[in-house]
Formats: sequence, structure tokens, C-alpha cells
Amino acid sequence: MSHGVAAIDDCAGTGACVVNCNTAPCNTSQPFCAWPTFQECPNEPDCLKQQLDGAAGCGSKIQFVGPSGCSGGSGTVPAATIFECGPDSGQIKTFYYCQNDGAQPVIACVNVNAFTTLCNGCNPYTWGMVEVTATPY
Amino acid sequence: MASLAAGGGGVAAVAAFPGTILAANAPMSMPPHLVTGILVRASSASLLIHAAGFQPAQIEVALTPATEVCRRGCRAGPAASLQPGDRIETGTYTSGGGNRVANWVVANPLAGWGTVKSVVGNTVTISPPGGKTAPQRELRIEDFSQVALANGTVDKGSAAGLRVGDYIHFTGTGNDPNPLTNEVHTLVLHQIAR
Repeated sequence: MSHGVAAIDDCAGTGACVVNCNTAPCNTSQPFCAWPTFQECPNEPDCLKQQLDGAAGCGSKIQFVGPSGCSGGSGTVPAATIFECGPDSGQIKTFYYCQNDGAQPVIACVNVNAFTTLCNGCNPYTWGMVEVTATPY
Repeated sequence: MASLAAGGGGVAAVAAFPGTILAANAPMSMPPHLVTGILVRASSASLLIHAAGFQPAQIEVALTPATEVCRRGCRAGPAASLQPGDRIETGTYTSGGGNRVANWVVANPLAGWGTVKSVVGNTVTISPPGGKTAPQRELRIEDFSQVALANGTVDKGSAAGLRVGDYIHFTGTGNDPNPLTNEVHTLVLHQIAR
């Protein structure tokens, strides 16, 4: 289980939610998610080959749970897809390509639909971010 | 940051996720708690929103005096500031009579991440994240804008706590429906790292 922050991205321009290493197409209709404590397999440069036993691996799914104190209840996004965030071939491991050996301050780039579910119908634009927990699904 | 983000991580009641609003070949219905689309008309009592690719394609959403309407700031009450053609996102619930009612409405919403390139007065210019080709946003910090600093304090209407190089997340509204617009009337800005 990880704790972190979820936020939305309007997907203007090209590229993707940065917490997905810019490898997935940005689509405001899809809840793209990343995980702050995802660990890259040793000596494995290709993120597409990553697998981790006992944790959400590459292409697996995680469940996000919103705070219990949000407008009287919490929401759950049970089927958000995680994208492995390791530097791909030719990519430099910078802040913008998720650092698997460090925690990301923003763990999730969710769509408005998912955000409002997480916070029980709140306005994502006046909240900005919501704290969440993430567990393998 | 934590002061504006909802605190706590406890698990309480589990609400089923109603699926994505991903446009597909077959028309989908909007989830019960959210409508997105283009504003066709607005009155003091309701909005008519065109939701391309969804069934139904025209959705009526009722307004109440408590509905929060955001367009260059947020306020409760009539949606007089909304204009036909605006890009609309609205959080809704179903009334006892079966109608959609808006909790909140945002016109021409914008949101994203970036690195602070400059701070001039109350205008914060950010560069898009690496690998992303996006507009260079000019975030206007206005009287209503909340700036949540990494140290936990929240400034209202001031960019004084921000520095070049800060990594930030923002939400706000544009002057028009163009999602690639540069100018953002900031609602909430979170200083994530500095």
C-alpha cells in the first residue's frame, strides 16, 4: 500500500501525464495512474518487461482509495492501470521520468471522473489534489 | 500542499467506480456524477450541454442557488458568467424527481503540471513537463487563487512564495474553450517541490 496524491491533467498538447513517463497517450477520459514506490527489476532496462511478485507490476492494476473525511465518505477507483515508470531506452532518468528508486510527490494522474469518485463528488478544480492510498488490485 | 489536499488515507465506504467516460464506437452514457461537453444554453435554472459521442447527446442539468459556478473564480448562484460554446465540466447528482442537478460547474477548465520559468508580479509562467509538448502556461494569480506552498501554508492571491524552478500543479479556467490557451486564471496552485 502506498500513500500519495492524485491530480488531474487537461492533456493539452502532446505527451502524457508525466507520472506515466510520457509513454502513454494522454487522454482525459482515462484514469492514468502511477505508483510512487514501484521498484524496477534489477538489470532490466525495458520497462515493458518489468514484473514484480507480490506487487502491481507493469501493466497491472491498482486500486485508489480516497480519504474518508471527504464530504462524508470515500471513493474507490478499483481498476486504474499502472504504467511502469522506469526510463526506457534512450531516456534519461530525470525527475520527469519517474524515479523508481524514489517516491513521487504526485502518484496519480487521474481523469476528472475518477477524481470526483475519489473525493465523493468534489470539484477537482477547487481541490487541486486529493490524497489517496494505492494498493495492488 | 497537504492543507489543500484532503487529509487522511483511511478506507471507509466503497463507492463503485462507474467506469471511464472514454468515447467509444458505441455511444456511452455519462456517469451519474459527471457531465462534460459544450454549453448550448444557460439559464438561471439549468444548463443544456452537448456531449458529443454520448447518449443522450444533449443533457439538461439543473442549477440551484448552491451550485458552485467557476469561470475566472468560483461563486455560488446563477450561471450568468457562462457563455454558449464554453467547454463545461459539471459534477451532478440525481434529484428525487430523477433530474440531474449540478453541485459544481467549471467553464473552460485547465489543469496540469510544470516547472516555474518565471514569476513576474502575480503571473507565473511555467514550462510543460519534459517530454510533453504543451502550451507554455501563464498562470494568473488573482484574488481568488489559492497557492498552497510546500511548507504547508496557503497564500491567497499572491505568488510571493513561488520561485523559478519550482515544480507545481495547477487548476484554473481559460477565457475561451481552447484547451491550448496560454492564459490560465488560477484556482488552485500546489507547489509540489522546490
